[in-house]
Parts: sequence; C-alpha cells; structure tokens
Amino acid sequence: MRLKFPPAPQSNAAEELRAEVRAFLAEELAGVSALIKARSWNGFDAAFSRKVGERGWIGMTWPKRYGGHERRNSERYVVLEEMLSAGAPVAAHWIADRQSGPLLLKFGTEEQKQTVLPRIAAGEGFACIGMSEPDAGSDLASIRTRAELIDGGFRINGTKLWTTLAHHAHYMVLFCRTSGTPADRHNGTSQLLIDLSAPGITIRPIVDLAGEHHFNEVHFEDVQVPDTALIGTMGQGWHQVMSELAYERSGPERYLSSMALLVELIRALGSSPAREARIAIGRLSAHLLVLRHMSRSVAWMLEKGEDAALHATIVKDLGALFEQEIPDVARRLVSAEPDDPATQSFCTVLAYTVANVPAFSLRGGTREILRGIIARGLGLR
Amino acid sequence: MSDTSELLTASATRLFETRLTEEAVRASRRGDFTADGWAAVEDAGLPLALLSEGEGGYGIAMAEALDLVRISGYFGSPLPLAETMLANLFLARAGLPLAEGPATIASFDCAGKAQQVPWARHAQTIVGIREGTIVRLSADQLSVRPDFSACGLPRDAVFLVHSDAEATAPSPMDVREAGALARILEMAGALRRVAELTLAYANERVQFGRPIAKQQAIQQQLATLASQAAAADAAADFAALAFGGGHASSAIAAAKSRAGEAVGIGAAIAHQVHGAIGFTEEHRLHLYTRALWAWRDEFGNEAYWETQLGDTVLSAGADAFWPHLTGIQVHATEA
Repeated sequence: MRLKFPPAPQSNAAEELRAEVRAFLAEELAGVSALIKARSWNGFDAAFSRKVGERGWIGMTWPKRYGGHERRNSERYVVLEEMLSAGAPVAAHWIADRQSGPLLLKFGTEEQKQTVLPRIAAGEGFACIGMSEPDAGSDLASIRTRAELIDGGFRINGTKLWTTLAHHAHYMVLFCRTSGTPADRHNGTSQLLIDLSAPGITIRPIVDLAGEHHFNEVHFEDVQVPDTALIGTMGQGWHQVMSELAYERSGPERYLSSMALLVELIRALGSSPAREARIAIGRLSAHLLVLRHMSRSVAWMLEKGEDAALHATIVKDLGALFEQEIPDVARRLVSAEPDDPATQSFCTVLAYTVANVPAFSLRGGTREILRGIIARGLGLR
Repeated sequence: MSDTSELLTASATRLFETRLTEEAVRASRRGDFTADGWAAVEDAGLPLALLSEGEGGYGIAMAEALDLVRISGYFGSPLPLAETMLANLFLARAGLPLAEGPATIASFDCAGKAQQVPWARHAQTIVGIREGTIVRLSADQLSVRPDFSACGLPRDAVFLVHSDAEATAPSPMDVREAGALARILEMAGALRRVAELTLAYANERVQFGRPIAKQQAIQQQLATLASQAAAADAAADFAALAFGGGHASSAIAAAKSRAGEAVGIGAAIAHQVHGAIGFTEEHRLHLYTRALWAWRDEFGNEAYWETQLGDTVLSAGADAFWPHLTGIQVHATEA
C-alpha cells in the first residue's frame, strides 16, 4: 500500500511562463490591498478575467478549435499557483476553467463545445455548479431537482443551494434527476447545461460569515430548456459528476487559500522574530513545500492521463488542514487586537481569514466525505 | 527508474524479506548485529549504491539509490545500511578509499570524542569529521562506549585513541544533513509499514460482530494514517531529489519537519487502532513505532529544522516568500 506521488519532470517552458505571469500580476495587482488579496479564488473581477483570457491563460490545455491553447497541464498549474499565491481575483473564470469546461470537453455535444468553450477561454463566459440542494449536501445522490422530458426538451423544477457565483454566471452545469426517485440513488440522474437567462430561474443571494455574497439559492420553476442542453448521456449523471469532482479537488486552490494571511504574518513578525515564530514559520513552510510537491505530482499524473482521484483527495484533505491552521498559528504569534491601527493590515486579513476557514473543509467535499473516499481507496468500504 | 535501480531495489526487498526477518530486527534493538545478513547486503552491493561508476558504484540517480534506505526503514532497519551507504559517499567524494565492512559517520569534538554515533560498536570503518575535515578511521583506532538509541538501536560514544589517521581531506558535506536525510527515508519506509500493519489488523480484529475496519470512526482514522504516510513518503522524495543540489539544505529541513510530524500523528493512530495488543513487547508494532519516535528526534528534531527553514524564509521577507519557496523545487530524475 504505497501511495506514491510521482515527481513532475523539469519544464523550462513552465518556468518561463512563471516569469511572464509574475510580471503580469505585478502590474495588475499593484496597489491592491492585502484584504482584497485575501479573498483568494473568491475575488471577482470580470475585467481581470478578460485580460487573463486575452493572455491565453484560461482553457490552456483545451484544443485550439474550441478556443483553447493546447498547452500542458504543468504549464496551466504554474498559472494557477501564481494567481492564487498573489491573491489575484480569479473567481469569474475559475469554476469554468477548472471543471465546467473540462466536463464539456469530455462529455459535451459538439454544439456545446463550439458555443461555450471559446467564451470561457476568452474570459467572457462564466459558469456555476448546480450540485448541492437544501436536502442534498454530502449525500449528493439524494437530489430532488427534476428535469421532466417534454416535447423537444426538458422542464425543470427544484432548488439548488450554495451556488457560488450564480449571480454573475452565464451558465450552470445542473445535476438533476431525469427519471425515477431519490430512492434510485445514482440511477436516473443527468447533467444539463443551463443558460441562466432562461425564464423561470430565480437567483437569491446568501451572505456568508465574512459578510460577503458568493453563495446563492437558485430556484427553477417550470424552466424549459431544449434537448440540446443534455450533457453526455441521459441517466449517466452520477458517473459524470464524479469525474467533475475529480477536477474540482485536484488543484492548488486546495492549500493556498490562506496565503495572504501567511504573507502578512511574515511581514508583521518583522526583522527579529522570537524563536517560537521562527519555528512556526519554518513548520508552515515545510508543510507548504511538501503539499506543493504533492499537488504538482497530481497535476503531472493528470497530464499523463492517469487516474489521480485518490491522490487529489489526499492533497485536498491535507491542504484544508494547512489552510485552516494558518490563522490559529498567526494569532498566537502576533499579539494584537483586531482593531489595533499599528498592525491593521495583518489584523484585517486575520479577521477575514478566521471568518472564512470553516468553509475550507466543507467546499468541494467535506473532510469526512474525503476521508471516506480515502478509506474506500484503502479497500475498507 | 533505471533497470539497475530496479534490480537493486528488487534484490534489496527480497533480501530483507528472507534474510532479515523480525528476529534480526529484534536483535538490532538489543544492539546486536546480524552478521550473515550483513554479508548478504554486501554481496548484493547495496553499500555502494550512492556512488558513481568512477567511484566504484553503479552510476544510478542519487534519489533512486536512496530508495534502498526507505526499504531498509520499511523492514525496521536491522543493519547500518544507510550509515554505510553515506559513509561510502563521504569517502568517495573526499577521494578516500571506500569502507571495509559496516561503517558509520562520527562528528568529533576537539577532544576527540563523538557522541550518538549510530552502530559504532559494529563498524569496521568510521568516517570521522572534525573541524570540517574528514578522516578515515578503522575500528582499532577508536574506543567505543556502547549506548542505545531511544528504540534500542546501537548509538554509541566514540573516542579517538590513535590520531595517526589513514588520510584526511576537507569534509565534502554536512553530517547532520546527511544523517537527517537517512532518517527521513527510514521514517517514510517505516511509517508505510505501520500503516500496512494497522490496516491489516483493523481488517482482522472483530468486535461487535464485525471487523473494526468496518466502523466509520476507524475508517476515518485509517484514512488519516494513510494520508500522513503518503505525506512522509512525498517529503522523503522531495529531500532525496534535492540531495546534492543547491536546495538540499532547505529540502531536507522541510522533509525532516514534515515527516517527523507525520510520524507523531500516524504512530498515535496505529497504536489507537491496535489497542492493548499493540502496547505489548510481544507484538511487532513497536519495532516500527519506537524506531519512528527515535528517528524523528535524531539529527535534529522538527523544531531544529523548522528554525533553520524559518530563518531562511524570514530573511527573504514577506514579499519574497512565494518566489523563495517556489525556488525550492525538485524534478523527476528522468522525464
């Protein structure tokens, strides 16, 4: 039972690209506050995403005929980690680039690929994920949203919840039931590509712990979509959604969410930090180096076309522990109250990160679900 | 992995499985040396694995040769294989004759005393490091006062009795770093073994009418153990691939810290899942967990290496933090 994380090979192209991305970000993010950077991949800026699209950094690995750039996954990884570590506002294109686009590429119709993928790659088409529901969180198979077959298409009724970015997105990849009942579990589910401007869709904001609006409740009432909205095969929704989740769990965003705080912590510690601070920063750096090594390995496995789902799950579980621990470590090293003007930048980022970390082991699969997946990988379930 | 590396790791695995069984591991924890096992190790050429062809080795990539140390750890490290491999590397890089028989490395103070020297009492050749100089010593030039590591392995005090050393040269590398690297790899191997033993036990042990591995609470623990073992293994790769390069110090520091932390979490879960039987001398679990607890402290514990790494990171400063860390990057030995 050796879970080997194969090291990625050297890539000069990737390192050249890294310098290019750093120069771009230095210019784009000049003067941006640490608090804005702390939003990590929740930061939304449509104009920024268009610029990233113009650079050719969205849909990087997709075929050119769909607006992609046919670059290697290891190069894409460099763009992702540089964007995240710098605190760039990537939210607008993030979900589409990470999972909706690759899902369409794998299962979508030719028409879907030709109309949607080029818009995504240009940084102009944004997507959201229609998986969770009020009564279907970790137990995703119990979804109730239903797409009824009607003449020439589907009629959809139901409610999706925790839908990040629905209020800005153009598309939703909807996971719904097309036959049977929730008791049928994995059978009878399908995925549909929804144009969110369709009549009958109501999007209501949900404000999070930090006072921000990322989440939404998306209600479908007799929404009619054409049969061309079907992604992949009718009834194969569960299988497809699992493949989508593998994309969702594999990236560097699963351990870099608290980077802005770590950087501000180092700044706040100043030039002569105490021994406990030197130890703590060394420990967090060690975690970061090893997580990054593992995460790059996952990217390399995906580039080779290998199944990296179990490896990605392990990195996400370890990554969430790391991301969540950073505020706890930080607040013990810097003696400051959140409203102390002398350490304002550190304190505002700390307060913001504290309010965000509970989500890190919920989104993209809860800690307990992830460990259940790992246990299954060990043959225990 | 090259064909030579594969042959070497395959023959090492077979050798440990057949010649260095639990009996040899238990003997090593009393300070004893399994001489016929060592003869087999030498016959297989394992002590020369880190050397280039010109130095008398096989010219395989350093990181691949270091897999032998991981294998040794997996089997409980009943012999000074890591120590002898590294001793030969030090000697070869210093242009000195290679070791005869089992060997180890000792850092001497100005009074000619070295402490906590692994396997010294059984070593025929001792690589001595003193004030940045390397000297090749044989057993008759030393007196050894036996002592034991926290898990019962030989870890002795050594005194220089004859200073008419065979040859001296500048020391080619840092003893603490090399020692830490060996323990990182051994920890990765032994923690994997602990995870396997624990998984097997959880599948066998029946309580409440079914194997405890069927309990969700146990499954979550086993998942954590497997993840920590994977992290220690990846940390070991990271350090092994960096060894000999410009970022070796930082990579070894990071890996010793991360693997040491994984050991703490992983060994605790292993004992929790094993219950009372795992707390006995009779059960073999402690052959690995006690070694892990010893190795995480040897050649610098987590706090030591975290301070080293923390200082380099902090001196780079907040805005250089990410560029600094991404600079500490390793690659596969072949594409």
